[in-house]
Amino acid sequence: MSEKKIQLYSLATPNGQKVSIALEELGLPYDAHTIDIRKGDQFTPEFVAVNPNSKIPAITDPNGPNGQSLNVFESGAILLYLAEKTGKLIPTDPIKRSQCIQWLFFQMGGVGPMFGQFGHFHKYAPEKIPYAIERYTKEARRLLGVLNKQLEGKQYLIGDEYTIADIATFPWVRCLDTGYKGWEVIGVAEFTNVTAWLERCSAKPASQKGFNVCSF
Amino acid sequence: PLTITPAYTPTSCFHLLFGKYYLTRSKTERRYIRRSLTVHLLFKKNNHHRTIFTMASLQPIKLYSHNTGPNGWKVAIILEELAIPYETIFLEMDDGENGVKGASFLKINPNGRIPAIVDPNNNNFAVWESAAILQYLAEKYDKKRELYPESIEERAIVNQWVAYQISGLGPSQGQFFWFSRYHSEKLPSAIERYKNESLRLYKVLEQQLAKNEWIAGPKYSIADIAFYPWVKILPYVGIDTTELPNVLKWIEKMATKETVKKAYSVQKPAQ
Repeated sequence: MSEKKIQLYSLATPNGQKVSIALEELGLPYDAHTIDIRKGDQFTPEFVAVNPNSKIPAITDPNGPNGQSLNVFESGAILLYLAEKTGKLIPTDPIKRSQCIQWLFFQMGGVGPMFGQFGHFHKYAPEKIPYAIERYTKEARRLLGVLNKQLEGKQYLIGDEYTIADIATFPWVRCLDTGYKGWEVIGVAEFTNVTAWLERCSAKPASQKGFNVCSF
Repeated sequence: PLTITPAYTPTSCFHLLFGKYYLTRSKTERRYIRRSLTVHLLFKKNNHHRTIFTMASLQPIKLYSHNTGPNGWKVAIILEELAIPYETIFLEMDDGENGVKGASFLKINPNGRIPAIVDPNNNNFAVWESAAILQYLAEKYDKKRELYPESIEERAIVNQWVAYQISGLGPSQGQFFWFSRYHSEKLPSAIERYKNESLRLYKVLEQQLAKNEWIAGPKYSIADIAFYPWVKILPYVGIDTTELPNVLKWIEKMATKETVKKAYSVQKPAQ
């Protein structure tokens, strides 16, 4: 058995938390390195070699093909890679697998970017632009509505199975509160299926651990 | 992809003479024909029979798309690459009968965005999210694994670039379009924000294409297909391209592909 551990380059933002939670859930050994994006750690040549886009998270898997190490960036690609490699957190049935991947990409192309824009204009932007805040508040609500409908009568996004689609999404919903202080502005509490699912996912020991890896 | 070679091979002769007959038979009859000794012996040698019969008997995939929205064209390109028959339904960006947020389309994609496909060759299975569609079609129909590799590690490399497009370039350029062209009020800080991030993302892409033939490495893949509809319009969007020579070269390379030209042949000129 290999002694070599996965190297994780991350920070406890929603995208970083996704991968930490997955690693904990899968019980894979890893070393965590904090990349503080407030200090510009993401622009060092060492990190750019792992992720030319200078964003966290990124991993180096020493147990890559032909015994060589493999760098993977983009949280969604990392989740898929870990799931395919272990065969866990992703369904084997081809139909359910495709559904899992659809919801994973829904998070990457929709939930992440749009909640992120909300966070920027609501919390971080020096200039308060009412139109922009309204635009992203509306879209965040719309996306929460889509999630709420999907979660009706279900434990997790694609049914009874907890998958990388859930792991990719719930840290972002949580961030609307913990990161952006936007829970009331967006009215997240109205989406009761989402809030129940968020609680369910957050309560898992792996999630509790994963939230605090590479903390600020 | 399915091609009928010009030379008179047993395969091409069968298609010329019996193709139409074969395609109009029922499922059971087609299976019988494929298994009949004569036909089987004719094609056993070069093993093309399986591909040809499978591709020839596909029902057209339904592609829900939009004339100017970039994401639908990704799917049109891969359908052309894999020579899968398809029928495009162009939707409007509203909540009417033919709209993305209308009741009938929401049944197919609860998120109400294009593209989405419905595959009649798989019990009308619906797939939405352009990247998920690219993966689904590649995994199901790209038997030679040309567009999406077999190994998990090579796939991780392709997936990271696809992810970069759908979570980075698409949203940033999309918001840039919104604030610079579509929104009535001009908000300089918002326009700057998305323009700068789009340019930053293009510079990273430029570095990647300076070292690699294609976006995910030495081979053309679904990563290139995912980027193309967004990057194709780069010379027209008001982002400075002087420092992006490799990106511009890549655009040319993609634009000359027959499959790409075919995919876009049904696009109406933008107003």
